[in-house]
Amino acid sequence: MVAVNLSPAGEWDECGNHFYQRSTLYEVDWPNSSLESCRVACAAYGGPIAMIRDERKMVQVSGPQKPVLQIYTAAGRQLGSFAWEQQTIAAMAWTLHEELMVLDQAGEVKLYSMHGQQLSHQFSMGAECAREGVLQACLFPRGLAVMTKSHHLWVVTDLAEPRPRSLAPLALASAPQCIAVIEGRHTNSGSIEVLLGAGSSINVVDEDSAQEHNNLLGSSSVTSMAVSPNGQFLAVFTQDGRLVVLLADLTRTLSEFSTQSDAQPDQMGWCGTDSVVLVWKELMLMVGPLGEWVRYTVESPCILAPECDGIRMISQTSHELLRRVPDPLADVFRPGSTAPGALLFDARCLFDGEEARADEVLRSIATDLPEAVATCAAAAAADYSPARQAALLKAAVYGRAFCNVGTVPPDLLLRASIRLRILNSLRDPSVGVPLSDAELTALSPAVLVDRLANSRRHLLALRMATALELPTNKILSHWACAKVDASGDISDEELQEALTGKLRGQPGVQWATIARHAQAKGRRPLAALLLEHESSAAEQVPLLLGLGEEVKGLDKGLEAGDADLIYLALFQLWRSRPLPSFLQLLNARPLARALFFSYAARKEPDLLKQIFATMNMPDSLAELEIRSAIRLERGISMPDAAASSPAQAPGTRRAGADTGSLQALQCLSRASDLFGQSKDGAWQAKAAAEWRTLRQVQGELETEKGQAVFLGTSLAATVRKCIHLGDRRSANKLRDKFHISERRFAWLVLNALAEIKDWDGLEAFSRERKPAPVTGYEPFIGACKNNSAPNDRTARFIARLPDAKHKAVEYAAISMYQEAAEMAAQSKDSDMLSKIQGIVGSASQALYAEQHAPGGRHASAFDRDLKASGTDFP
Amino acid sequence: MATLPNFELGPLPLGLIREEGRRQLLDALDTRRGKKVLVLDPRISGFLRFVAEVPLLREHGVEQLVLLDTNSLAQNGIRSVVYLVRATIDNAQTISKQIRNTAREAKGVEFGVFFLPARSHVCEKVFAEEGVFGDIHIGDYPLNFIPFDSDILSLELPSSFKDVVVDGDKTSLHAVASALLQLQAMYGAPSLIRGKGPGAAVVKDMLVRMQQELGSQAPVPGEGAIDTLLLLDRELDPITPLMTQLTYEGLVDELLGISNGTVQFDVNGGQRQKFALNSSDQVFHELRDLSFAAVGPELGKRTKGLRTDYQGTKGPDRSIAELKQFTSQLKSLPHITRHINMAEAVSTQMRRRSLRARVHVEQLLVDGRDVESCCENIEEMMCSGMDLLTVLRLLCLVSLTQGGIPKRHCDGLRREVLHTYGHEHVLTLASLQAAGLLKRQEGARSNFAAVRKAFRLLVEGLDDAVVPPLDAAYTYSGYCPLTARLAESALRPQGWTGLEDALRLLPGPHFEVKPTAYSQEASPAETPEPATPAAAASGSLGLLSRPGSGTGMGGGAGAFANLMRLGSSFREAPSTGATSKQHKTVLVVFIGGVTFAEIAALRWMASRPGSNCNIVIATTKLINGNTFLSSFIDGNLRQGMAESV
Repeated sequence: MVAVNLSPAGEWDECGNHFYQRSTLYEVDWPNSSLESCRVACAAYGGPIAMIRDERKMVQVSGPQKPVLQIYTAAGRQLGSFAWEQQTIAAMAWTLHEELMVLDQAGEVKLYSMHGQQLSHQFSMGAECAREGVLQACLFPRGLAVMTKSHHLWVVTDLAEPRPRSLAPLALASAPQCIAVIEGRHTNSGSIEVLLGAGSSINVVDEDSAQEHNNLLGSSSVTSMAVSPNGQFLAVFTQDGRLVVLLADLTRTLSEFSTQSDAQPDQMGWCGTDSVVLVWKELMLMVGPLGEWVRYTVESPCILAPECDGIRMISQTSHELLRRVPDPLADVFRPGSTAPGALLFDARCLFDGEEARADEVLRSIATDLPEAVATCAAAAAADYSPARQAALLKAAVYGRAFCNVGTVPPDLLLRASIRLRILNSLRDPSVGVPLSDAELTALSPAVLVDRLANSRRHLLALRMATALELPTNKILSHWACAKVDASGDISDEELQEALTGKLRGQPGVQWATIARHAQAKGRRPLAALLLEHESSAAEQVPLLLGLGEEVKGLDKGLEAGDADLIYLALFQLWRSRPLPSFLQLLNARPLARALFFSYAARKEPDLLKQIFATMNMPDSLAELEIRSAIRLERGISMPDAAASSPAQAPGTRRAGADTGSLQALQCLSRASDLFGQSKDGAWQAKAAAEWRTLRQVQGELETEKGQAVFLGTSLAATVRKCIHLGDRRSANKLRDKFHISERRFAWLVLNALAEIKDWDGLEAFSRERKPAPVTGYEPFIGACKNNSAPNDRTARFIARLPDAKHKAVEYAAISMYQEAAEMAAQSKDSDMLSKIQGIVGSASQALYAEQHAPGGRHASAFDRDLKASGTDFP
Repeated sequence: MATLPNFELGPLPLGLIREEGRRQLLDALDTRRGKKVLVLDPRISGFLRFVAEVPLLREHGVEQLVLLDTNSLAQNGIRSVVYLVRATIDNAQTISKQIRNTAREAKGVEFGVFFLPARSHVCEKVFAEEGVFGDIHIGDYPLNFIPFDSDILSLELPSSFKDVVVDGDKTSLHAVASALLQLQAMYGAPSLIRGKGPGAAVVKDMLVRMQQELGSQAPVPGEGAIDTLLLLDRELDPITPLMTQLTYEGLVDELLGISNGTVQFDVNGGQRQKFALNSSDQVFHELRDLSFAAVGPELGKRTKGLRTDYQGTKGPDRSIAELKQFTSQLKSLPHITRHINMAEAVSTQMRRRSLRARVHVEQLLVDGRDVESCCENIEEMMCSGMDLLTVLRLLCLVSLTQGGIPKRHCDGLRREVLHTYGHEHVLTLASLQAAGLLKRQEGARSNFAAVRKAFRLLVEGLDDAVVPPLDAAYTYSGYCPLTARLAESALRPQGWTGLEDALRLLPGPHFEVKPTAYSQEASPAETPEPATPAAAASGSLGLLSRPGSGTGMGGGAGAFANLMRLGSSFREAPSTGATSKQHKTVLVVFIGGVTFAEIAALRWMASRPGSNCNIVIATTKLINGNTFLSSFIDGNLRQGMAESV
């Protein structure tokens, strides 16, 4: 039967409840390398493989003395190579972006593209590493951890921002045998943890502390460790041949398996997240989660490359995969399986064989048909063999025809086919990316497309992006950059033509990125040409500045109205131009001018003064002087010095005030002069001069009174203060000097008297001018009320009001209802009268209501609740 | 206290913004390891509660919350400090100082600075000059609009109006455009943009431009939840914020002050109360937009209703269900009590600050009558110790309605201001003059009379206390905000067609744009202005750009794409009920601030029978006359005033 021929089950090994499948991905031949003598780094997700002669191993060297770093695809095609002429390599690994990270013995980290070009962002693990040298290192896709020979740990957790951070110091009795890292995203604390196996203990080190766990493994010492791809588990191999699996936080031992082997394994690695693979010479042992195991023979040496759903083994002649058979595939092909998927597959085979039993089998799974279709589709996606993929998809198509509408997603098979096309074309030896379906999901199609573009497989990337409906603009831009790289001998115009010819009409092409690349390659004219196509100012401006087109950059920024871009351009212009020409630029551009002034006011006050003087702006200059005066007056230091001088206590003001005071007076004189020069600044000039006079008078008053209470207050406040101090003479002097109107002055005096509750003085003042005060009596009544004068005092002024009606209102306002009623009666104001009666009547009611209000208690309880929850922003 | 508005009640589910803001905040915090001190810009801390609550921050390692200053943080014994600040030069300087002060005393402290809404080159330059750039991790916190209520969004840029009209600094306009772009990513792009005013035109141009830069990523106009975008510039109507708002919420804001959606006041008897004012408070939801005159009777009705219900439930034959229903009503009792207290506090303040006299002067001024006596009145207010801002409001009102302060009074009044409040306010007066708010009458009269007539701003004989009100003018007791009239006419089917002559009385162009989806080569159809020069080539936000090359777009394209995804789930959902399709959703953007009374007028318009629109309001800042004018007062002076008030 066809099914039997197709079934892969024959190649499967049972291990516990699961099947494992070992299959050859590629026949390979590493042309210039012998794995035996090499240090090898395999990128995850079927990425490139780097090899270099291991200088620690004794080999017979023929050819060049310096080792050569070779980079291959997973299928063994060479991508690039270069001679390694630096310090001895301590470790190397591939990063998240498929860049080769190489750490040397002195703690220098260099990064290379997969084509062997050195990338610009190299860094060092710090002076200590350089001095002491690297003892142990663990490289992972996002960063690295390094132990110096003095047992001090340094980590970098973000390669985009490589700042080495030191971990907590630890005391180790002996040098550690092995090192492993659990990345921050997998730990409870959220920060990276480094595990060190030293003796029989495992040390866990993070930034705050180092903990030693020494009772986990008995007395035997740790020889190697491996963290599972999901960061949850830790596999430990001990001296006495035991494989122990622990939770990664070392709180629990999950399983223990004794290999009864005296020899240490050459390598240990996780196969997916549930089994561990150990390699000794030609023997490979896979141990499942429950201690079940399978033994394989392998070609020696064999390099392990763990993946999230399996493990790859790279040897001199082959590249193999060992993985747990994905569930859908196992469902369909497990010997004797009666899962719906298996039966559907059988039915299809029978159908193809023109056997009537097909119908019978199909009927037997009628209710589970949608599930069977889904299983077959998933199994197809999980399989590596195109023939089986096709057979499984055919089975799914067959089953779908019998499903009710809506039970199978309409595009299920379409999407499965698209994915398979992608996976198959990736696996093709010419591309050499042996990705599984699960890995594609984990990696995400968008990242895959980026990786393809990076590996210069632009057409493939573009087609995949189109098939998956992903944006294509990054690929196009990347292609254009690569094109620029590869076209060193083509003229700028021609190259620009070539690029625009391909890219015109494509959505979202990042011209600025391409232009930036061209600039970096030293092709500035080309960059300028390309930049013409860019529409985003945020992209254009920085680049224009880089190209020396500052004014153009400024104008582009102004066009977009983006202050940030304008500042960027302004700062560069300011640096690169003499002041007059810079000012000329500003003059023609009001927005740029406003922004620059706002910056200068805070950071370069002196420059701003100079500018205002040069540009003939007396108004602005005068305002600056006024601001200085205010700051001097209020003891506010210039923004730059604010930190050093805490706010002065009121008592200490005198000391610094004398010089400050003098300076303030000078500022005001200058301000007055400057305002005078301006077109319509006459009133401001007068105000500044008047202020100066006021300050002088206030200064004299302070000396006279021996009290520092006048400076910094307004004229009105100064007059009031004089009255408060009982000094009418000085108040009168102020009145004359500053031409305060009689009416205004009267207001000031009466309010001041009321404020100090000098009721007799107030009374006397009200009689000073005959026949009546210039303000009338209302202000007196108001001042009394505002300063809670006794009712009889207020009543005296009310009594002198000319109008009875008005009196009634005022009496009522201070609750003198009887008098109010009399006055209302006198003026025959019946409305007022009834109002007063109403008030008197309701007052007693209100009193009653207040005592028996139903809401009162609720409200206060609610208040308490409010106060209890003190969890508010400051 | 932490009562949040119910964001899902409004025409747009603004909770989406909160969720996104919260996620990004936590992401930012999580990038810094371990326990940390969170240092907040005082201008941010107030509204941060709309995004995340303090306990949540604690879960993400925030041990202490402090406000930004220059004091060393070393004594806190903390290894990581995270700043959340606006990208201003002053903030960058303060942070630099604090970092230096802290680093002097403690080694190994890590600093992360997250700028709202995005980092800026100028701040990075300050850091570099202060020598701390290398020690800081800099990130963006792309929070633009903050949802203040189920239908209110604010950027919280208090000095936006002043920056534009006095300093010519259009940064805030760019911020509005970027924020609108972000909003469009979440809720879809409108099929119609209408607007009036110089700032509105700038915002429109920027928005259209940004949308083109997005290229194919831009949402397709008209397919989202927002149908129309109406851009109104405060410059069209600086008069309204100067008037005293006479709705309940407006008056509470005028007299007690609403800050970040909460109010604080003293209950009679001295106890201080603080609570949130938003639509989740059912009583407030119903009363907020009523004229204050109608609030007393309405509150009375409610308490009476409760009493009759109570008497109804007293009988022995009441079922448990009825009792239960009654007790559930009782739950609103604390709310009612609170509002009674608050209304009382408002009344007390009304008496204390002689509000009646003030409103009388305002009414005379917008009516154009008796300017002489108004000027005298203002002078008298200064004598009797009225606060500076109130006096400035009235002075500006005189100037704006009369085309300047009458020559005879101008110098005297100005001198009186300086004498009473201090000569340093020569700066304030100059700044108001530069803004055109306060000037001396010279020749040309104001065209306010013409505007008043053309837009029917005064409604005679309107009874404010009628519920529901009869005209939007109830919000200012017979004076209708010009913005409300503009919005009213803009939302008619024919739009502003036919109103061109009236519109020409106001500053700046008016425009109507029907944005087209990307890839249609034609530039947007536009009247009456010529089309915006659309860059021929498409562009995008730089997906491959180096990490850290700030795009100035609030988080760059990655963030934008995220928002699109976030929004798409909402957009694809069979949108908010059947009503939303009959009703158009209009986003009214007030550039330069909006008052509560203006919002009330818009809400009233939308709730009128026969109205076919839902209105969401977005603004640079929720203002009243005092906060509006206080941005014209020099920072150093403002500090002094806050102490003295």
